[in-house]
Amino acid sequence: MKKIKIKINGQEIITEKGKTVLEAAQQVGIYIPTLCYYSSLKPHGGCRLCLVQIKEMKGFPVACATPVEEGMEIITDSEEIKSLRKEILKLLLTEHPSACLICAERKSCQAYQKCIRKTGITTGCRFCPRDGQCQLQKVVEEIGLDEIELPSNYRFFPIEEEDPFFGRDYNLCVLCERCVRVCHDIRGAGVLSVYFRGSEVRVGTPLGLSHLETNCQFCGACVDVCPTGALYEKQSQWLGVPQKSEESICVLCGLGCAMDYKVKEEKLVNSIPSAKGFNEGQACVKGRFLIPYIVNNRKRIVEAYLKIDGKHKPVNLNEALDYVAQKLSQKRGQNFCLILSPYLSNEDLYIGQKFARKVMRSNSIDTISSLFYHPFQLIEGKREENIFHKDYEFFIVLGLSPLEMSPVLSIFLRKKMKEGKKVAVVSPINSFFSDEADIFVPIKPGQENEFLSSILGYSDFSQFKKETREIRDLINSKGRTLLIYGNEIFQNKFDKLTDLPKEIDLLPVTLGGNTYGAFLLGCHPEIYPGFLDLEEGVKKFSYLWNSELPSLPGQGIFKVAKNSEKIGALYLCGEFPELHPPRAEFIIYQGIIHTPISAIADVILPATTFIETEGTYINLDGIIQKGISVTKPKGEAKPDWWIFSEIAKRMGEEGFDYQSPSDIFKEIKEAGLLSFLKIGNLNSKTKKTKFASIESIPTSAQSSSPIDENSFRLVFRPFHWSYRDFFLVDEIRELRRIIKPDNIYLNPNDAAKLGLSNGSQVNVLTQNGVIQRKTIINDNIPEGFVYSFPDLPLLLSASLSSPIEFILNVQIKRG
Amino acid sequence: MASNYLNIIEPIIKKYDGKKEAIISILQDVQTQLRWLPGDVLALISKKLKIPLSSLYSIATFYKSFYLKPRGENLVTVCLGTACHVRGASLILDELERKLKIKSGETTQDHKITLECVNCVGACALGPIVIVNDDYYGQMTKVKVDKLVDHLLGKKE
Repeated sequence: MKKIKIKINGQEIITEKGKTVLEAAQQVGIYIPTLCYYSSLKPHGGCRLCLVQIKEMKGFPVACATPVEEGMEIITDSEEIKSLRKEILKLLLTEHPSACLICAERKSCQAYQKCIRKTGITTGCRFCPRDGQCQLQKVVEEIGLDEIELPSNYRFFPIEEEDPFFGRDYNLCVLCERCVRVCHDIRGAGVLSVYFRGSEVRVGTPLGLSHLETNCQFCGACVDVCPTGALYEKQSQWLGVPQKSEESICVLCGLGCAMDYKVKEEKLVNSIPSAKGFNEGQACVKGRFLIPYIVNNRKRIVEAYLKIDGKHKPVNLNEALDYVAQKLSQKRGQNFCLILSPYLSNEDLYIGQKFARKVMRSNSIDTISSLFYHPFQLIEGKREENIFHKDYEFFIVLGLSPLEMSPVLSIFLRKKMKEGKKVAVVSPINSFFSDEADIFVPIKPGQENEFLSSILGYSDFSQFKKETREIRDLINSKGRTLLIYGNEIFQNKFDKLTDLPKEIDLLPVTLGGNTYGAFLLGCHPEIYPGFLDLEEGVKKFSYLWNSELPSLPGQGIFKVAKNSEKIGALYLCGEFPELHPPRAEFIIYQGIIHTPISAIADVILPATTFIETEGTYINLDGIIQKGISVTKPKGEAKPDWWIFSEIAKRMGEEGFDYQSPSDIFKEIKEAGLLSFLKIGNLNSKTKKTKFASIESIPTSAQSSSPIDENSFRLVFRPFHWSYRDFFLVDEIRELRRIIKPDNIYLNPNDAAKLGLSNGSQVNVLTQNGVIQRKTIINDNIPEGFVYSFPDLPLLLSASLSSPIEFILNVQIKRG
Repeated sequence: MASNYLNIIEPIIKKYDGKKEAIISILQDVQTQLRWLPGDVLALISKKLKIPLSSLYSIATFYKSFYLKPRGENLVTVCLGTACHVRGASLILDELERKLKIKSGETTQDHKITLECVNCVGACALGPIVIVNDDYYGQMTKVKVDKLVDHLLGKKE
């Protein structure tokens, strides 16, 4: 960047060409009031508060949209400007309830702000969240306004409280259009806009639709950019100003966005995406709104329970641990089965499998991820730099819907598109994201793999010849290409990915917050940490752990879920697909929430959530990210690693004396398990990752058999609405209004053929049972296919091996 | 209904080569055929042209010449300009509102007549003036209004 010299208020400043006057002033700490300016959005110049005087320029240009030029002389605080700003602010405030902004008593009133009816409804911000985030307050303070002699013009818009997660009081809106711009320019959703004109201008959804009726993703980006209380988060609305803010990560998906966790009185208030992370201040509905629902849930397990005479009695945690240790010492061997969660931290996972292998002498360790992936599928790849910072010229999205699986990834891709990079989306489903892509290939479900091998030149795909050629040409001409692929690819056979041309890098997008970590750390019945097979693993770890280790394959989650009767002890510390209620001799449930499964457990142990304990997680990009403890654990809840170690110690085992997660991390690192991963912090911009590469990939069931006249192919979408044992959709009523697991989506032509309308009850007949669903007609669904969220018990009974098949032949009958 | 709209929209979009920039012309052409812009039509155009519905609604509400409410077969415009006003245009408007049982800016239930006001049509010498579609009726009185309305409502298709 070219350095240039300018003068602001007589002060000489060296700044860079391309910056705006406002940015140059902010750089040296000169305050210019703004409302519509937002650092990550394009300059708008709408509020006119930032106007300044520039020598040799006519009138009063706005600082936020005027680029600096060599030798510019700028005045930001002359009396003339001050009085102009004051007048503009007054006009602006005629339409904003201003009692709390200009009241002479406002200083002494601060302490009593709890009361919401101190001022009249029409002049006070009755629905203002008063969370200390009001930029308007700051601006009024700086500009100094005590009186508005203009009449107030309250707009009398009804308060919009009906939609989930956030409410809207457009009477507080100052028309800065930040929400409109973030919704269009950054998120690409285009839900909000400005309507009408002149004095009738207002912001909102088109045609007065509710947000549920639009394609709103409920990401909350509009709430985060609102400088007033017009858009507010409902759940934290009356909780007041948070006392502290801690930056950590969100582990509800594999991306691991950086979030600012706001805490008041040791209680999580909300989580706001951090501008400092790679996610650049953006998140999705999960990270933005759901975390407090998980952490502060009233069904949280906060103490230990023992089943006495068929009933759960709360007991002291020590007592419960003693009991478990005593019970488990009789159950050593492969018939002990431990189910972990792909949302746990590396430390928890490592200690979990160490506990099972070293203490219990069992390889029966698994996570729900094994139902979707084979570990060898994940050691594919050869990325060397963080994808968010590397300069790829071409992106191929295949076998996943980024909008659905990972909205933050779709924002990243949108940004790249704007920079002129090419994006190809290969997906059966059209969305507003695929609309924007340079190439959109509407393949049929199940053809993902075939299409991939045709792009790579291994085979020819009869359809979409033109698109295939375009994609191939782009790979050849553009060079550095990133292939982003998801569940639909994993469920197909793929064994050629290792022979990729060297210009293609891979980004597998998996379900779960730490799926890669779970496989890397050996949470699989046939794999030891470091992706070692049983023989090598026993050799390495019997030496490291100084103990005899089991060398036969253990029982995986697939087998255990199908038949748990012969299990001696079932230790559940993660999601368990409930085909039948588990019927092991002894069941331990270690989790965060009471569920139907916890109700049949013999012992319940309280575990912490990811924001209550420290831990590291490996994100999709292969970076080890550290999560910190933001609040104290609820009740007696303890980190999972601590519980495993305590039980081990009580069983007389050595090698479990850990003081903190960092001791465990040290052990993991010393075992050489992380050698090809780079330890990053949230803001790290560079890293070096070397993924191992392997030749043959085990194949799951093939899924492209032909469709006969009357049957449909039912495609189960990846279901990522869970965190450990907490099923978000089941527990969060607000979320159930957005995500409807009972719906089945079908094409209008198919619906007409079957005589179905929107909302019809249908029975979906499969070979292994019937499921009930409600129809939603959507013309983005390909003909002959129906889409639904998975019914894991059904899929388990339909599959013969794991990873399970996600496309079934079904018939649809009116219910 | 939606397929009817599609039959109208598709040729119009084709006429403009499906260009996003032609959105105002497209909306105008659609409105010429339908007399107004139903929400379903905006949604269809949004899908066809890949423009967010919110942007379309923003355009449609910005320009006075786009109508988001049904419009009648006949447009009755009352001039409320200064010259007409001093000659009792407001009485004429009152009479029309009473006869048609609608307020200015509204449309009768049977979609026959839409009533509107303007602020001068430049024919002050004829005031108070009422314009029905493209016909000018000058020097209006209550009696003339009654006759005009009866004529309009009695008109058979």
